[in-house]
Amino acid sequence: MGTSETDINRRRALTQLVAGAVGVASMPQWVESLCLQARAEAQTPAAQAAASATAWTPSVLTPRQNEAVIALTELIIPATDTPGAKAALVNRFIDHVLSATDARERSEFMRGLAWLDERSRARVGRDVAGATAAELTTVLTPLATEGTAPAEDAAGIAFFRAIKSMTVTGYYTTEIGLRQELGDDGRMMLATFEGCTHPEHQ
Amino acid sequence: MQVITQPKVYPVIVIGSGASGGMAAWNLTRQGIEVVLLDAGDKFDRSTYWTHVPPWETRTRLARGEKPETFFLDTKEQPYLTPNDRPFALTRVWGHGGKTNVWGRVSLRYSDIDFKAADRDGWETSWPISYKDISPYYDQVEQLIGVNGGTDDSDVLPGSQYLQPPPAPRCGERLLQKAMGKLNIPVVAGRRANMTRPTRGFPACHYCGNCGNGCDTASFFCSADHLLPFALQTGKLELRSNAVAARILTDDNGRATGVQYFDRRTGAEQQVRGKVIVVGASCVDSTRILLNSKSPTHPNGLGNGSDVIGRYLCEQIRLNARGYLPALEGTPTRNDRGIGGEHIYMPRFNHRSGRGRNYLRGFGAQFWNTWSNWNGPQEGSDQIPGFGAALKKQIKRRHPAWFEIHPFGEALPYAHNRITVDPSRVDRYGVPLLHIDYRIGENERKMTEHMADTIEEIVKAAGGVLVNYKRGGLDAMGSAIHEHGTCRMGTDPRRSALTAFNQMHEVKNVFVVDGSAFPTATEKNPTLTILSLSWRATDYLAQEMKRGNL
Repeated sequence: MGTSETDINRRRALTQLVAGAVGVASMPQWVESLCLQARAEAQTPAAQAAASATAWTPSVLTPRQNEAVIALTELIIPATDTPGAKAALVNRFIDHVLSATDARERSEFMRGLAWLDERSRARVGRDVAGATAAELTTVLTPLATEGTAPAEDAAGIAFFRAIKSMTVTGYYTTEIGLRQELGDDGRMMLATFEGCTHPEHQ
Repeated sequence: MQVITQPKVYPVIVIGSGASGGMAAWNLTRQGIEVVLLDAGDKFDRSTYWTHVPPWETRTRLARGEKPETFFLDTKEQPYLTPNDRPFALTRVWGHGGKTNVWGRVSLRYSDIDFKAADRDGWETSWPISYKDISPYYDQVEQLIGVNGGTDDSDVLPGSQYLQPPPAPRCGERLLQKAMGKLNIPVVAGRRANMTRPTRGFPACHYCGNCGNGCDTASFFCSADHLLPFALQTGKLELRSNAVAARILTDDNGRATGVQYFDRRTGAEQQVRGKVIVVGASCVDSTRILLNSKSPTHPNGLGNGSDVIGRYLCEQIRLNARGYLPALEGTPTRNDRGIGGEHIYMPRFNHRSGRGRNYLRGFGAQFWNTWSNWNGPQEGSDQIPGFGAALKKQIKRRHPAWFEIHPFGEALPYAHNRITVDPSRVDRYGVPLLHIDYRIGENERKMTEHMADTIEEIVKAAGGVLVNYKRGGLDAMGSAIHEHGTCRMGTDPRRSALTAFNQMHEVKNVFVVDGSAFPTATEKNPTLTILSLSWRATDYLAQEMKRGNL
């Protein structure tokens, strides 16, 4: 039996988050790895620096892929009475996660995006970046509803699972997601802690 | 390499400045004993911590080129080895205060249920001390560091008389508490070293919940804030930073004479001489130092004629179950940061009549993040079906409803669970690397089943829903960060390395005062007991020195 040196940096991120694993048994390993990577990256300086840079160009995505990612993330978490994923620059976060993760997971993601472009062209005559929100909704709905899609859609279902999880992670770790949408008061200095005061919970 | 030997002989050398080493240095210097303290790192600068920074402000700061403090030792700098198929997640902090900079602050007294466990069940050796030996030190430590908690004492959790008021439970914790009451499962206020009252000139906790990034107001116990500055004020402490201890040096009679260390910045080898050596580098690193201290009189590592050093590594098992309480869905988002982590605790109960199972020892549970997470929504939000406005709405509704149940269980000491050093693999200083071989057995697997049943029972009674739950799925080995047992105390020198006062049976002028001295892991968090034992051991050391016995 051999021994190995422990690379704590990547493994720490993954094992510490293992309890929050994606946990969908049917999903391929790369989806789970990428979602965990996104959660780890959401807490790191590099991802946050990428999100806040003013002059930004994608490091992994092509301009067309970037447009597609913007469209997909905004469809997953749209602007409502609060801004959505596009305004929160979730595409930049995803580009960063893809640049930080393993080549295999990156290429699986790219393959999934290409599959979705192909499906979009077949269904609505345009690629993801070129489709309208209504058209994209038609394309995505069967992929987002577990158990309803035929077996040949497995690649698209896995890709959607990955980008949805990364979008949720990316969006709800921004000020837009956390403060404006969820209503976090951002107060970090309290004189007293009240705790639960609801009579029905006592 | 040129060896620079410094001729001064210090009365005491302490290795490590965390809970154990910091306490030793503080307690010895205040009694007038001169100490040189070696720490493998530098001082962390509290003024640079991002404790009270909301998560989104970190982005602005990062854009300005600022960086938060990172505490953890990088394995690129100090690798360690494991068998390929048995990973172990080791967490190390090299720097003043060690892991107390970022610890979980749970402060639970051990009772005779813990100290006398082996007397009852016959598994391995008991502690050579009992509750009455250590309780005066618990009293002192709690007053020194400021522990909050309730008055709900029991046979598992005694001695609440010095606790500060606990923070109120959050909504989720109230609902879980009620459910546990229905099931007759004990639940008490957590006992944790966040000061809820100003203590010894330090301000009280501000409830930012961000303790894992270090506390910029020193409102929870950290050795670097609460012990080292006071030790330095005595004028009796010399603190050497970036001094990576490698070996304890011995004379022809096997008695310790000093410590060989390496300067972390330059790599230069150094030595320091001392009459007595106190080892408090944390369980795993102390064990590495002892095993690397081989000599003709100590061929198996320092004081290891019994071959117990390195063996009986016991690291608690834990898991993290997450879910939500439908009763809290759609309630307003609250600021529930509190003292970070749980405000309630489930003490061990399987020793109670009718509650036992077919395994030894027990488990307790913390309740993490029963609150609106400051880092964003809980993992699991991405499991909500669909996409679009409906998904966004549902994530918001569920945000205040998440909870986590986090049991910690005792792992038995096994001789095969072992830290060794590998002379064929060395670090940047040429010092053999650690090899950690750790696996749990049948007893721990049975305990895990009981943990799972308990979690499921509580969640059901509370009307909750578990998400991403894998029954029996434990966190990675090592993630409790509660390593013990590899240099255990005991009455029998053939079966233990240390006396009841943490003094080596075979090398009278060496004391080991960290978690490695614990014969058992218990299910409780160890830092309060490490502080108390180190205080007790160094009281004895000082007394023996004054008597001329050391």
